[in-house]
Amino acid sequence: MTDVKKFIKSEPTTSVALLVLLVYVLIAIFAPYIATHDPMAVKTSRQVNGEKQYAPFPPSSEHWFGTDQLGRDIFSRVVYGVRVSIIVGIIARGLSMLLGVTLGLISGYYGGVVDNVIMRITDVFFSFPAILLAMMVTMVLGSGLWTVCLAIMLVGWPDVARLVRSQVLSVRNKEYVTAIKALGGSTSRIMVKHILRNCLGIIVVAFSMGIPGAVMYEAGLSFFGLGLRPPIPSLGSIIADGRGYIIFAPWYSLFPGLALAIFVLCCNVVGDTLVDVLDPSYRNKGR
Amino acid sequence: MKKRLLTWFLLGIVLIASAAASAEPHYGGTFRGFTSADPKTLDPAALSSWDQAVMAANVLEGLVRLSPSGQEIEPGVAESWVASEDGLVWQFEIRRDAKFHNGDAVTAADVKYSFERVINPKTRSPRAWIFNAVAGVEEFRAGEAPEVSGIRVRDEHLLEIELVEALSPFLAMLASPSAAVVSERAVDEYGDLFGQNVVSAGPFKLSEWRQNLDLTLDAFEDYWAGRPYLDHLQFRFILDENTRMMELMAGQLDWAWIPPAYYMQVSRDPNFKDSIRQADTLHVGYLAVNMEKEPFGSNLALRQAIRYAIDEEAVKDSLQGRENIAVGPFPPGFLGHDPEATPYPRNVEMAKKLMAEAGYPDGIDQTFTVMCQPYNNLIKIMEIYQQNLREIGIDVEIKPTEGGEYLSALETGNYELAWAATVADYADPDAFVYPLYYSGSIDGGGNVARYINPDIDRLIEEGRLQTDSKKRQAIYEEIARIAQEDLPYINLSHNIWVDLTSPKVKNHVPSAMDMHIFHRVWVEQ
Amino acid sequence: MWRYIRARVLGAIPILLGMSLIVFLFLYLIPGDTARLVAGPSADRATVESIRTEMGLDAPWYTQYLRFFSRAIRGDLGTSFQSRKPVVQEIGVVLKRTLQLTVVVQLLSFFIGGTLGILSALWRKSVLDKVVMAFSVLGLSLPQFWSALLFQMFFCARLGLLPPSGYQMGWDIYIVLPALTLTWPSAGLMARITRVAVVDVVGQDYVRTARAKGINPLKIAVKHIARNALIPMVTLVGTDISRMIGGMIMIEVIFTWPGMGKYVYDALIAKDFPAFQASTLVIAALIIGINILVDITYGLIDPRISYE
Repeated sequence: MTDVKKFIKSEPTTSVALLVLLVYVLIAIFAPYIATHDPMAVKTSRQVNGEKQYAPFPPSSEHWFGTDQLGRDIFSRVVYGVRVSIIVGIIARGLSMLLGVTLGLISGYYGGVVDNVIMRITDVFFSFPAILLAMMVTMVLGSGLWTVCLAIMLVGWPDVARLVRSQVLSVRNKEYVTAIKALGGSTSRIMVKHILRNCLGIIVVAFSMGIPGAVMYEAGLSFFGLGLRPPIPSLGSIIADGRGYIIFAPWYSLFPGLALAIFVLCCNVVGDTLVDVLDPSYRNKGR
Repeated sequence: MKKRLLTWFLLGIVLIASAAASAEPHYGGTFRGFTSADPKTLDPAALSSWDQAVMAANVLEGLVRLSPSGQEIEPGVAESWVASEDGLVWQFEIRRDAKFHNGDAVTAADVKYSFERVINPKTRSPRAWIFNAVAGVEEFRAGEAPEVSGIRVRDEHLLEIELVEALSPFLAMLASPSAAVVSERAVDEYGDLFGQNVVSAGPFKLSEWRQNLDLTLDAFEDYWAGRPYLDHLQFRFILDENTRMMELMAGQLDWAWIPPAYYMQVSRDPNFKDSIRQADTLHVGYLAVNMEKEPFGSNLALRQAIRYAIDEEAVKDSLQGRENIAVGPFPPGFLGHDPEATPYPRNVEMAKKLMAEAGYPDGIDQTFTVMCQPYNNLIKIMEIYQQNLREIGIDVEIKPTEGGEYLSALETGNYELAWAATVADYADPDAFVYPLYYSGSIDGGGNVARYINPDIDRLIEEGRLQTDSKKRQAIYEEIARIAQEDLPYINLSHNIWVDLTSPKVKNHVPSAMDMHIFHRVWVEQ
Repeated sequence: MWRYIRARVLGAIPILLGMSLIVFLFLYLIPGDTARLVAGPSADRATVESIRTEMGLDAPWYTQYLRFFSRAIRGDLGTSFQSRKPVVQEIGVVLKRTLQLTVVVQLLSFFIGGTLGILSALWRKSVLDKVVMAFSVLGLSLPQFWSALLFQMFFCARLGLLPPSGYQMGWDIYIVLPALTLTWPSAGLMARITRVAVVDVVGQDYVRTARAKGINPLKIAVKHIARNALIPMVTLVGTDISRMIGGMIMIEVIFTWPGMGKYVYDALIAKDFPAFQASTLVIAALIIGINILVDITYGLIDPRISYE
């Protein structure tokens, strides 16, 4: 317990950020209980004092964040949007990790031609502007949850592969591996054990540092209309929808934008600390 | 006393004079308009999209042209025309003062040249079909004849066109920018680059074209109907509707389509509220049902249930009232529109009853895909429909689909339900029903529902041949009635185009055919 | 050194090849009929088919790719489907405009970000430091299309100071908003990197030693700061340009800046295969080229690295 108190004292900003992230996760999990309205319920006009008013309606006691142009409650949509964005972020980044770690391990371990080929492939991906790649994937496969995750996975894996590979390489060259070899120990088993143990830190860091990026890519894809299928609300799609209303109904984009920005901000703050704690050399790797 | 009277008198004159002056159109100035993308080419033989139509309508001219409102057909380079009794032979008198932008005079031979150029398969023109009814076109296309025998130059200013069979909408088709007259000399001179250096006979001529940026047209001094008031007509290529509105409100743009998001604000803004114009467009939006697929294709009760479930009033509200709810394929005021027709108002009870009748009292246990184009405003409307259908137990997924795939799927019948819209290519009810309901239009002609009804086929053919407008009215009303009963297309809405011009722009009349003409528009300096 | 450059350039060729193949395959796989798209929705079947044959779209994909490849080698990157003009010409025009924006943004980021970073490092833990770091993290956390919107709303709609979009000559008021939106994250990143580098230097032994010896630490610090901080700063310019190119697309579309990003986006949306193919190749070549340049500059600045 005192460890936790010590931590909070030494890193106040990070602690706050962690707390905020925890709130986000709770919102994501308990979305149906937190939302005040059905996020899909449409109500395009209403009568107020005998006068007809058109949606979008400004924030009020009934609609805390106001409504969108179809009269749907924005607070509820943001709550579900948080859930969707986080899920997409985690899945997409998780898939990147799967692909990236596997290829990185293979590349670093076997070296030679295999390494060369894999590295060339990552080069090809690096020379692609990410958003373009993602757009191409969604155009071929159509929009939807899995295509978006696939697209973001393809964008994120080369980074991870590079990172893991350099970690593997540094382990391979360590003296104790040579020592074990000299002593006649089974190299592959030892290698795998040691490599994995050494890579764990970087994997955790890469995963968590990559989530805000994945969430932003999803927002970017939504901006271009290539995100999730309607009417699923994601933070990115609500922001994109609210673009036209920024002057006359600023609440529309403001609240989901804030929700997204705060999430990414806290991820970055926590990520920075994680890097310092787990693997400061992360900053220079993978160049 | 005298002095005072004099002062008042002079003041009065000055006031009257200035009032008169500001009401008088004057020459000069630049109109800064927009379109969503660079048209890439303005060659009549290569036109295919809306972005091109707006500019093309001001640069190109053919035998006839549309009025600014798009409702009437006016003389173009042809000052008069006459059709034979049987409607097969048309004669056009080319006016003597019609000139090309390069100064050459326009003759009947030029018109023949221009038409044959479009008909020629080598030019790959997407609109070549407007000439399909002309005699001799088949032989020309097959390479059996060196020219189209049905287009005859009687003398320098008299052109004769013979049709294979009477076609009432033919004149309206000739008003299309694809039927514009072009200078053969210019085509030879520019070759492949003709599209970017078009020489025709419209009120404006090409001036400066900055790729992906803007296109500027200059007034054509020798235009037969008098040079336009404007000196320059500029079109900036701005895809984003929000950007256009911001530009206009910041004084950088003179014309913008008003997106739903801005309408309320603009209609209350004292600077802009008097500059809002709207036009009922020759458009119909509908849910196309693939009649060859289960369960919707064979189950009328289901289709009717869908129509009763849909809350088009809510959609209209989301557009702050700026659309007409469809009661048939024809927009209000158009030939064939029946104001007495039953509108299928939203009635969830009725819809549920019909669902039970159709054999699905508890809804359908399947998720269907509804294709639509990927425009954000449209998707929002689809979300309303999705919610409506959910209420009666039909689960639909909205699938925004890109242009090429969308068109292919519609053409090949590779869909169950799709939202689509038809904008009339020419100002005649045939432009709606021939592509949509005629059985011969399946597989590429526009009949995406793959609807076959011999009664409607017969009526459509009759309508094309019939020249008496009263009889045509009856024919098209009957077509509309059958269409609304059968619901292969669940007709939903007719667009109302709403645009805003900056306060200094005068006399802008938006077109019902999306071909906005600026010949008579002027700007206050 | 030259051997290194040559090796890198040679190494770039298979990358570009691989990329062009991937792009080609993607374009081929995109559902929808290209011939129909070129013909337009109202063309009839016969027209569509004749267009298909004219464009050689009825050949199998590898034949089409080989045709493209053999032409590309000779410098003919094809003709745009939409404008029917040679793509190389069009790219030349739009590339210049993107470069204008890039240069402005990088210069601003370098100097503003660099200065802020140095100041933050020298006055660590101060209010200035906290503000700069906050501004930096914020720049990297806000979605660019959102910040673009906020700027437009504030500077255009509210204050009426700046034009919300468009392009005249490039070096005029139209560049302000797009540059502002792009500079924020870039300058923020630059500030952070610079700060870290300077903090490193300031803590190092020779500075303390210099102090102890009575030599003006500022002079030494500046010299060492310059040398040590420049490396990551310059490296960042390179990586940042690559990073920025993705955001360019969004920014150019929002602000109607008719540069490379908007061109490639328009080409993708319109399924203008030759335009898209060629522009992605050019962008990739640019990114690779910049990376090579960065590596070389890195080597020039840091005497510890040699390229033998």
